[in-house]
Amino acid sequence: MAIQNLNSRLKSWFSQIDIETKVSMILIAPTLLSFAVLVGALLLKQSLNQSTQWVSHTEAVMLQIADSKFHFNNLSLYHLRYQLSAEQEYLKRYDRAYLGLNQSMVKLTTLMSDSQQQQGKLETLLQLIGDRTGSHRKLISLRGTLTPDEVIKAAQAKTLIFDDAEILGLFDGMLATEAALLQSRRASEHDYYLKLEAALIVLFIIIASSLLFADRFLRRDMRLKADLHASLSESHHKLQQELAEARNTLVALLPAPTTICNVRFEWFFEASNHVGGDIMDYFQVDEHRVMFYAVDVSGHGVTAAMHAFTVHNDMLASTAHIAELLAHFGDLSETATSFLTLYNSRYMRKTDTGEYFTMLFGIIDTRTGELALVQAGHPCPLLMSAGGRDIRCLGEGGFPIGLVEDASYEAVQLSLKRGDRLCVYSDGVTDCENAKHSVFGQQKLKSLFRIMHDQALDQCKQAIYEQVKNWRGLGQPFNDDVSCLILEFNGDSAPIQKLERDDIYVPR
Amino acid sequence: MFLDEKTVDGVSCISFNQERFDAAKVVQFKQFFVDAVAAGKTRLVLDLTAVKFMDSSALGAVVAVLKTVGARGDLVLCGATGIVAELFKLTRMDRVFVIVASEADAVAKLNS
Repeated sequence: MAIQNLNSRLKSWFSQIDIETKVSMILIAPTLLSFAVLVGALLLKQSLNQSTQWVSHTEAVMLQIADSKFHFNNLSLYHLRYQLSAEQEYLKRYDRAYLGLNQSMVKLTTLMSDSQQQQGKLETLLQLIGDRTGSHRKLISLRGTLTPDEVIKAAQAKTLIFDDAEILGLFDGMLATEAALLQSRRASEHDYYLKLEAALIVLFIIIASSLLFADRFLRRDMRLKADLHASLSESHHKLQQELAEARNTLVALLPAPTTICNVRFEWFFEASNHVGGDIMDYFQVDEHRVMFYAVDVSGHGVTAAMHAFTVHNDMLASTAHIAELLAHFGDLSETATSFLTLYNSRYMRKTDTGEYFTMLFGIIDTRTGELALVQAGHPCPLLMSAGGRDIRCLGEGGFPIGLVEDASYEAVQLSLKRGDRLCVYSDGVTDCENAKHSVFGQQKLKSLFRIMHDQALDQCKQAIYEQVKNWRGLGQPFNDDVSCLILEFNGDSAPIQKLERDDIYVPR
Repeated sequence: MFLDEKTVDGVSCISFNQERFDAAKVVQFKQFFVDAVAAGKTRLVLDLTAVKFMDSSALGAVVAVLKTVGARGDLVLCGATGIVAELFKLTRMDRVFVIVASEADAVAKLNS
């Protein structure tokens, strides 16, 4: 159990350290071991050198001995023998001379009287013979008392004569001693070689197994990373798909450009690459009143898109309520402000995520051209009089929806004339940045809106869209939703249409 | 960190030191103030002088901070100019926040 615990703790500890440390740890042990083995090998090598020196020394001594033996055998001995035989020759000759002299002496003694001079010569000769014999005896007496070295020296100096068998026995003993020494040293040398070989094999095994382990480990890590990457990119792809789906769903909610009663609506919309929260819609509230709105939910992503869906549904569902308010107040401004005040507090109660949105809300009485606008933090819309004579920004701001409880709203009320145009846009249009981080701005939008005054409404919309897109740069996605709603009041009160609720509620 | 903090006359002055205040910084921004309030700082100044662009998420975050601080202390904004000032005006947040010109004014306001 304790071992299992230790094992699991080691495993968890090991999984926490990063891969470089792991590989270093795997490689550090063999490195240290290799180092130790190398040091050992060096020491062995040194011992081996020593041993080899000993062996060669022994071999040299043996050679010297063998050389001496050979020398002794073949030269010194010969010389000594020669010397000895020479001595014996001399002795024989002296003996013969002695015998001759003896005979002569006998003759001479017999003669006795011959010559005193002849007797003196004989005495000198006798003296010489005696000396020679003494020297020979001295040589023979010396030979048993010498050490091997002295023997060798004497042999080399050719000063002594030895007994052959004794000398050779001496040499053989010395050679045997040296041979035994050589054998033991060779054995130890062989032993060293074996140890060195074993150490190298162990070193090789350690290094090879460490490398195999490190390789396996790295491969495993790479595989894990690849798996992780694959699963991440799969999730990313899925997320992107879902975002695209959200974007498409949001775009599908947008109404078709149309004319309701006598108000023509055109718009352009392009969702940002990460889905924003712009939405807009327009529909008939009662027989001759039309409402429209544009919304920009704060933030981006699916949350913003979902809030945009919610607002869109709320607005559709509020049609009846707005109609009731209109019937109750009989006034566009009051209807609009009280609707938004109510809607704000309802929205505040409903959401606590801190999400909010800006909105431009408007109601038009298509008979008179009366228009009430409530600006809930949305950018100021542009109003252009027919023919582009006059263009101005409307409203002075207002609380966004969902940010402040018990916020109250104000409406701008004005009267549209035939041909007047209103341009409602999200800040994605004016804050659209080009490559140099310069924003498109309201001024550019204003002049473009004015320049296009004599063009059809869809042409006007298209021109603005293209200019904003060019400003952003071809092929560059927007970093915020870009939406713009343009309407034109034609002034002629169209025949009152029968309100078709189904047309309004069918999802588009 | 894009926020600098110092104490002037017992008031915590927090200044935003980058030009863009957008959704990417919102979470850290809100947490900074939650921590400040938890640490007992109740009189706070947020200096937006450096900010040149602020998006709707950032505005939402500043409102959230006001709600965080609001119950237990006071928050005064200063240094809002250009687009930032316009955003506060457009959304009527200039009526919700106490906004003054400079940090010195903000400190004076909180100490008065």
